[in-house]
Amino acid sequence: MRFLSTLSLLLAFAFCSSAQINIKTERYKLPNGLTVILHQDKSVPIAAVNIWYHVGSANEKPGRTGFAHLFEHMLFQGSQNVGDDQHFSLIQEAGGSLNGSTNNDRTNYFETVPSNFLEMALWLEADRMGFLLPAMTQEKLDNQRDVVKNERRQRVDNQPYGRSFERIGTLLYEPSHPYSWSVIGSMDDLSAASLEDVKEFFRKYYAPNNASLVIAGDFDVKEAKELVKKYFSDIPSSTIEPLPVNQPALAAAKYETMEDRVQLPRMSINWHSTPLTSPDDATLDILGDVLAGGKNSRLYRALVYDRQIAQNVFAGQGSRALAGTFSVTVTAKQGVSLSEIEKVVDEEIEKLKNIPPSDRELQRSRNSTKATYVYRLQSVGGKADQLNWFNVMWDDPAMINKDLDRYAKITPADVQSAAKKYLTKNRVVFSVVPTGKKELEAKPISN
Amino acid sequence: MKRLLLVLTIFCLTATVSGQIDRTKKPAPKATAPLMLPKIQRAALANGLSLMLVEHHELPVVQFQLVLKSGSSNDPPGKSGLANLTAQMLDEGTAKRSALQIADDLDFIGANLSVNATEDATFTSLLTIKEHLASALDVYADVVLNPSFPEVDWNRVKKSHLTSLIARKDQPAFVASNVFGILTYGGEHPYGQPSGGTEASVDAISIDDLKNYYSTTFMPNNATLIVVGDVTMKEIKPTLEKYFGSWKKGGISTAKFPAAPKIASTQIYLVDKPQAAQSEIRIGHVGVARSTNDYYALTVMNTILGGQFSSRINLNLRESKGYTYGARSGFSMQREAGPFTASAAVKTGVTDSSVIEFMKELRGIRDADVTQKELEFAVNSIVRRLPQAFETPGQISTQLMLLVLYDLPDDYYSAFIQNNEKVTVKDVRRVAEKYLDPKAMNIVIVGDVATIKEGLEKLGYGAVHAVSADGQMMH
Repeated sequence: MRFLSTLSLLLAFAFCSSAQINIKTERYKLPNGLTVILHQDKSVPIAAVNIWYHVGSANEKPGRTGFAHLFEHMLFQGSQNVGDDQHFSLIQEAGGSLNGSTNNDRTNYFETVPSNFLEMALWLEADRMGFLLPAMTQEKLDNQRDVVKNERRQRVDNQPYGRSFERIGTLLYEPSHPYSWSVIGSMDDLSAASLEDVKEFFRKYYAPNNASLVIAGDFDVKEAKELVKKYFSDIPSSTIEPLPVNQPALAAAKYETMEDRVQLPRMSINWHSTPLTSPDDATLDILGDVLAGGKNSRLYRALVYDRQIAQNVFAGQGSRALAGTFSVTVTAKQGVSLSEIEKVVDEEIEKLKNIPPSDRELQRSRNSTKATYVYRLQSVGGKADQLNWFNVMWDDPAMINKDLDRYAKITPADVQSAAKKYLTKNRVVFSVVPTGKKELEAKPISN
Repeated sequence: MKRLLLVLTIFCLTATVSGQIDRTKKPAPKATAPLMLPKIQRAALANGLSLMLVEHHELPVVQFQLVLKSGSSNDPPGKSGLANLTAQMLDEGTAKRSALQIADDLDFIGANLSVNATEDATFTSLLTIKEHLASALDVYADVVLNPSFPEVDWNRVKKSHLTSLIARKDQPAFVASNVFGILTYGGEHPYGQPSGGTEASVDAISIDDLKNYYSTTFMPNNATLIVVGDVTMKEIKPTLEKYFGSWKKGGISTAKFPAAPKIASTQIYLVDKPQAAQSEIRIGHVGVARSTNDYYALTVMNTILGGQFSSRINLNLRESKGYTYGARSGFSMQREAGPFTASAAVKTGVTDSSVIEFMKELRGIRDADVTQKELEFAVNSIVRRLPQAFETPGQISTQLMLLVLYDLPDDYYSAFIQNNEKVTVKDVRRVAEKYLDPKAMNIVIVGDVATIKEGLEKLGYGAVHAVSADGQMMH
């Protein structure tokens, strides 16, 4: 039963308040600046390879929104020694799983393979880190541009409420702020992306000194180090300036309404909060749980359980590197006015500002935070991605063992203070109402 | 010792040639590491409840999965959604706990409870640490054995469920799958009924229906309890006897499966979504039950056709044509024959071209042998994936659940690799011919009719049929 041991170790540690999560890692750098993190877990004969490049949509230049993500697609189209479409094929034939993803702050690429295919996975990652451009063609770019435009149609344009997210971004941030545009980007900007853009982006951001490589799972440490050296050490580094933290604030409340082909009105209230490495980040996570985590949370009870004017409610801190937001999103029942919803949300927030939450509410939140956190660490793939998150965002992969401490320290008074400090009148209130039902929108209360 | 020497030699070579490595050659895999499959123990409580246990003792965590072999296929005519709503109501109140107490009791000890119903089964799962085993099992057994279906909670849950049915109509992907199911299985077959029900069917469901469904299906002789975690059979069996022993066995009402309608010829059905940016496409017909002897050949065949990224359908429609973000196919093998479906969301302007490419692939895998290389690729991909299916307790319990649901032998996974490797090019061709019939498929498309209709009518499938979002033919 050896292959179950690590997971259970984690679970037990997470639930026993006295004990600690203890994931052993080794971090080192190659001379070219590539950060390497190794975590051995021999419970199942598989290995996860996970690379984060510290580049996301925030790094895009004007007129090229969506480019970081389009570029991510190009990395699956072959490189100097890997044929077109071979990246997916080789890993799937090995019985592996793979993908990549792009957000505002970073782009990640990952695969989990049977452990005997580790060298092949490293060879594939190194080839596209070092030798992508010789394989890039206009034809491939045009094809993936079409695929990405379809991704946008599927996730945004053909989805109920799909276009609201990017609209909220433009209301929260000045046009010059890197979070003012969406990760998926606009159709026009996607159309404008050229092969020259691909080359420039690659040379600037896809360098070993802007990457963090995690290998987690069943491997021999000495052998893995040799392989990393063999495949990655001669890839040249580049010069990259990190983006500065830039936490804006709103000077006044903003209200906007979108009519959409939806049956249920939905409102989203958004506040500027704090970047993810700030101490208040965890406090705001707990505040989100107190407001909307589970049946006994404040807003769920008030809106969904007691009054039954809402279908569901979500509240939480959006943790991002340069700036954070806190949001409450409520989907109302058919025909319910969003002003009525907003009033209840405000009343519940006001209560929290006046009286701190109970110890039991905090304990429930900590327990569910622990559970969610630990479940993410069940697989070697999950651990690898989490290690890169802590390395790239906190410069400390060992945070994986300490992250829950951030939550243990927080008191009911801290949560109350955070509600007072962040959940102010200056916020973006965004309504989505069924076409022709403008009267259901939330409106500013005239003084 | 020999192996060790070999490894060291390779390292020395690597070190000396570093700087001029040959990147043109794909590194060969090392020998496959052995996978230890979990040992399954079986037992039964006095009332007939079957137990399956996979032990491990390093640390104190236990996962439970109660598989009840009744689901939405049992829904009576006109009351689809009944099994689903009964499942939703289990944790909404018991003889001794209110809905909020149930949630609070579990949240406070960090235990997770979930209940859901599919066509063939109802699943109630619990994850807890051993320290809180007794408290967690007390709630778990309470919701399974003593749900009280309180009227006030039922009214709230019913209203919420009706609202979710309304909201789902906004999602073209849901509408397409739903309409495809209704057209393919007809009004009588349970697989043609949406398992969540319709507004009319849910409206017709009363508390008494829930109680009646519960009392004729929730019985120990209709269930298996899967346990994965830090317990032995010797200790867990008496504990479960204590919590589940009062559960009474009885006669179980079974589902009826009338024949699905025969498809005379391939036809196109359109659900209008004016100005839609994409068309949601579903193509297929009735597939095959999980009990088929052709399971392995079918899985290999579909892996080549549309089961993963590197399959023919996706490489064609996405990677070659750029019509879609992803295209796929699959057999939903259930206790009865679930559907075979090929699907994608495609750009509105290429809806007809996408149907052409789909049909080309569906004919192609029947009309010619796949290559030996494609066969090996698919088999490798399937068998080498096995270790990843046993990484977490949740995954292990899912694998055991499949054994329970489809009456598979306990050595199923031991024989899995060998059974896949037996599949030949001829087998793939034979099952493609037997189980895919491109001449008699339903093609369901949710999209902008004004833009796509004309092109679709030129494809040779005759005039397209207008269908409502509820799957009703419009005249």
